Formats: sequence, C-alpha cells, structure tokens
Amino acid sequence: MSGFAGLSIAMRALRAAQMSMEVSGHNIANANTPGYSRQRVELVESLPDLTPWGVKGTGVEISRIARVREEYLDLQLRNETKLLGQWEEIEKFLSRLELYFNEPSDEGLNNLMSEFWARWQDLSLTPEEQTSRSNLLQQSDVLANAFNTLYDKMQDLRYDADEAIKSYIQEINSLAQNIASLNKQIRFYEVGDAVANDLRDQRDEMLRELSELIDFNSEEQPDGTILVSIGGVNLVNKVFTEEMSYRFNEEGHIVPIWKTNNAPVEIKAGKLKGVLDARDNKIPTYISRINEIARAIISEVNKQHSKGWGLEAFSSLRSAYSISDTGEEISSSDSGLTFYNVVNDGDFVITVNDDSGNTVSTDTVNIVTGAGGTTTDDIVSTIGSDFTSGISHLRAYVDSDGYLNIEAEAGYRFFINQDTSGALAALGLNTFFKGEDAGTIAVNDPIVENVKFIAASSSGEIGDGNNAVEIAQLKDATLMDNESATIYDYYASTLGVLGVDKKESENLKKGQEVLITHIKNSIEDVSGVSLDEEAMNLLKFQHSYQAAARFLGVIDEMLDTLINEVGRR
Amino acid sequence: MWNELQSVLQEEIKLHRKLKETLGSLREAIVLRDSVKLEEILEFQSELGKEIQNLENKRVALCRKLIQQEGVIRLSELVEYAPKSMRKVFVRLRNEMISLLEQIQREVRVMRYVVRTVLGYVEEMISIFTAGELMAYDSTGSKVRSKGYIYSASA
Repeated sequence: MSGFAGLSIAMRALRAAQMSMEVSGHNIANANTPGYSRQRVELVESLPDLTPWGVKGTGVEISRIARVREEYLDLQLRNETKLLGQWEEIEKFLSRLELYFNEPSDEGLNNLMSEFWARWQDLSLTPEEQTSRSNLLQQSDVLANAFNTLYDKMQDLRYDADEAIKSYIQEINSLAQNIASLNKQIRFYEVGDAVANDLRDQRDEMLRELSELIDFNSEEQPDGTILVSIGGVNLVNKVFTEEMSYRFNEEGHIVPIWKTNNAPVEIKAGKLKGVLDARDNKIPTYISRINEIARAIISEVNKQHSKGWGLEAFSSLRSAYSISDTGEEISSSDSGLTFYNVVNDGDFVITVNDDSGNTVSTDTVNIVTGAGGTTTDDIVSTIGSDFTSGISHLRAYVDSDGYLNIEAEAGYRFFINQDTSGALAALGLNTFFKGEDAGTIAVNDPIVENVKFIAASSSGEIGDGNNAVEIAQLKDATLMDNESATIYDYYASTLGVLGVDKKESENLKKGQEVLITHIKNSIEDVSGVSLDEEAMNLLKFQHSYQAAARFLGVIDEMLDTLINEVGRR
Repeated sequence: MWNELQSVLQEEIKLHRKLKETLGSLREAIVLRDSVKLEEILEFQSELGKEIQNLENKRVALCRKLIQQEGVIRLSELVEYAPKSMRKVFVRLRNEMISLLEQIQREVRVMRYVVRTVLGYVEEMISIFTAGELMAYDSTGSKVRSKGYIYSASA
C-alpha cells in the first residue's frame, strides 16, 4: 500500500469518526428540542481498490446521517392531536358557559327566579302596599337583567369564538407558509442520497402543530416535499400555498373560506372544528334553552297579569309589542306579533271610570282566532278611533312604529283586563314584562313608571291579591317541554345537560391526552435522545480511545527500536 | 544456529503481518465507535506485541551467540557473518522485515493521529456535556449517585 493510500484511508476514517462525534453532539444539544429525532451515522464499506495483487479494502465511509424516526407513529400522533385540539376547544367554551350560569349561587338564575316568585307571593298578602310592589319591581328587574347579561355573555362568547377562528386561520396560513418554505429547503438539500434530517424534524413538528388546528391529509412526494390537503384543496403543494381566509354569514359570524374561490373550507377536526362546533352548536343550544325559559316567563306572567286589576286605572296605554300588519289576525304570525301563538278564542274587558272612580261603562271585546279572526284593525274599530265612536271616552290607534295606543278622554281613565283570549298578552297591554327572549326581557314601561299598575287583584277589590297568587303559582306549573316540566325543571335540566356536555368533553379530552402521551412516549422511545446513553457512550469511547492512543504509542516506539535493530542501509 | 535464526525471523515476519492486518480492524472499530471491538483488538494486539518482543529477544540472543559480540547487532551487519549460501536468504528476509516494519509504523502513526484527534473531540464533548459534573460518572460511563456526605471543617 502506498503512503498516499494509507493517508486516504486514515482521512476517511477520521472524517467518519469526527462526523459520528458531531452527530452525538448534535443529539445532545437537541435533547430538549421539541420534535427532534435522534440521528445516527450510517457507515458502509468504501469501494475497494483493484491492485495487481487483487482487491484491497479501503475502509469505511459515511453512507448518510439518518433520522431515527417511525413515520407511522407521526401519523398516529397527528390523527390524535387533531381530536385533542377539538375537545380542548369545546371544553374551554363549555367551561366558560358554566361560569356564566354561575350556579349554585345567589346571583344564579335559579335563586333569582325563586326570589321573583316569592315577591309575587309577598305581594298577594299585602297587595295595596307600595313596598311590596316596589320589592317585586326591583326583583323582577334583577331577574330580567340576569337573563339579559347571561344572554349577552353567551352571544359574546360566540363572537369570542370568531376571534379564535380568525387567529387559527392566521396560524394555519403561517404554518402552511413555513411548511412550503421547508419543502423548498428540503428539496434543495436532498440531492442524491442526502437527507435533511433537521429540516424534516422541523417540518414534522409543523405538521403536528397544524394537526392541532385542522384535519388534513399529507403525502410525501418523490422530490422530498410534502403535499398537504384539506378537503381536497391543496393547502401546501411543493413550495406553493393556498391561503385560507374568511367571510361573514347572515348572523355576522366568521366562515372560513379559501381565498382563491371563496369556497368554504371543509373542516372535520382540530381546534378550528372545536371552536366552530362550540359557536354554532353548543352555545346556541344553551342560548335557545335560556330563551325558552325567558319566553315562558314573559308569556305566562303576562297572560295572567292581563287578567288582573291594578290599583290605578290607565289614562293611556301603548302596546309593548309592535304590529307589522294591522289587517292580519292577531293569532297569526303575519301580524308580526311575537307572541301571536298565545292568542285563543275568548275576550277581554275594558272598564271606563270617571275621575272619581265611578264606572261609566264596561265593554267586552271578543277575540276570534283563525281565518277571518280578530285583527288589530278590528280592535281599533271596536274601541273607536275617536272618543265618541266605539267605546265612549276612549280612542285607539296604531302609531307610525306599529304600536297600538289606547287613550282616555280627559276626566276619564280605564282598566283593560279579564283577558281569557291571550290577546292582551300578545299585544302587550296591561302586561308585566316586555321583550321576547332572554336578551330583551324587561319589566314593561307602565309598571316601571308606576307600580300601582301591577295587577295583583283578580276582582279589583281592595285587599284582593288573588291574581298575584295565580302568578306566584306559575312556578309550579308545567309550562315547559310540551307541558311536562316546570320552569325550574327545565332550567335544572339545562344545567344538567351542560354538566354532562362538559364532563363528556373533559373525558374525551383526557382520553386523547392519555393516548397522545402514549404515542409521544413511543416516539420518544424510538427517536428521543437519551442523555445518559449518550454520556455513557462518550465516556466509554474516551476510555477506549485513551487505551488505543497509549497502545499505539508503545507500538510506535517498539517499531522504532525494531527498525533500528533490523537496520537500514 | 543460522537455520534457527532464519525461522525466528520468518516467525517475526508472520506476526508483523498479523499486526498489520489488525490495524485495519482497529481503524474500523474507532470509526464505528465500537468500544467493545476496539478493546478486543487492543488486547489481541497487545498479545501480538508480547510475542513479537519475545521473538525479538530470542533473535538478539541468537545474533550475539553467532558473532560473539555484545551490544546492538543490526540485521544488516549480521548478513556479512552469515554463510555464503544463506546470505541471499537473510538479505531477502531483512528487506521484507524492514519494509513491513515501515508500513506498520506509517499506519500506526496515522492511526495515532486519528485516535488523538477523535479523543480530543470526545474529551471536548464530555467537558461540554457534563458541564463540571464529571465526577457524577465513573470510567465505564455509568452515573454515580452522590452518597450525600456533608463535610464540615472543625476547629
């Protein structure tokens, strides 16, 4: 062997050994880098030399530096991560909902409703006392505000979800850009048999991050780049990306779309799916249930209230609900009345008194439902549009905003009550509440202005609190869920459903976490860097190399002596 | 006696060839970071070294007897004393031996360089890696647990 050949083998050996050490160092330096895969030097026999005496080995050389990685585990991790992201988001939103309900507590709806019915009960005992009336007004106001606040918070939560969606869309776009950029670098570096290990690790980590946000398919291409597609649309294709954007739907909420064609993005899992699910399904379910409760309270209390007598008669009254078409039956949705469906066949009574409280007239207004039934125009006509026609000393008209107004002539006042038809509740005349759902429920304006208009009496007699008793007893009436549940039952079941929903999302989240920890451990077993192992190897090498160095030194000296003793000429 | 010297020389050449062969394996063990193999080879080479040293002692003693002279007797000098019929054989053996020794020495020197350099890397890495906690590892690379002794100075 020539001196040059020996030197060449030595240099190859040195390079390979150096590389091996550098890879060890790289492993140690990245032991705590998320997603880093242990690397190893793979060596092969270098090509042998053909000599006149036959084939001669030339040592070993580096084949490649390989990533110790199990692709299947990566895929499993991504699949499970997207479900974790989804349940994490749902659980997060349900937790906030649970906080908003604030049960059990003094400020929770359960207690406020209970207090509300109790104030009606109090009023029934002392119907003529201003304090009882004021207490009821105050408690009703608190209850209505609690409904409003809960409703607003839940609606705001949906807008918070929009913000989250916006930020996830940005994150997805940013990750797509980074993956495309890594595709470019990997394609550049991986010429021949080279493998860009660290870049691939980075790309795998980004794919894992992406899987937290959205479900996708990925496929490695022959040039080393990865194709990422969502619902058939290529988010990343080689070095190109498809940008995700958003538009607003009819409700003013964000819908993720593809920027190029405005088509909605098909989202099946991940945080984005979780947020969308929370915003469009979970939260609306609870909003709807709270609305149902508020509507039941408004319509049932109003129906009963409009039967009763206040302490004072009205000089004028404006309906709490507007009518969009006065020519349509008030029992029809075409009338535009919110509570058109509470109207039945029946009647209500209008009593006109003079200033001294003497009854001047008592008139019954019949209400007929169905086709050809009573319209707002019919009611106006019955009462009369001036003080002389229809019911004397009263006039009725619909103002430009669509509200029905009834006014008494100067020197006269009127009661409007004893409603068996529900028409007054539908119109909002002599009613306790206004509004149509949890977001709008409020005490009706005339009662806010004068608590004497609270209709606690069934007869109009002094000391009669029977109508207040009837209203207080609504708390035990089965008004909800096809008349199978009381308001309490329904509210309790709402909380129950929320609790179960949250527990389910918590359990699923925990389940996913356990699964992911297991997969991560498996990945760590395959790809992780064991510092102890690396340290042990290094110290073993050190020990062996020191022995080799000493031995070779001895051999060298021995050879010196031998060469001297054999003697050169 | 000259025949005995010839067979000692032939045996020495054989052992040096073996040593040369194992240097290739040593190089591979260093590159592959196979400390087990490396130590096996070193042990084998050490045995070879001892055998070579024994033969060399035997050769020197034979040479001294043959030419009745003390001190270092070089093989090149010995040829002049050999019977004429054997001189050519001794020249050939001497040339073969010197060539082999020079080859081995060259390879041993590059190998020493390789080992020294790699050792430098290893030591540097160990110092970075252990970050002043070298005492936490023993020479086999196993972690040593602290016994938790507390030393205090007393008056």
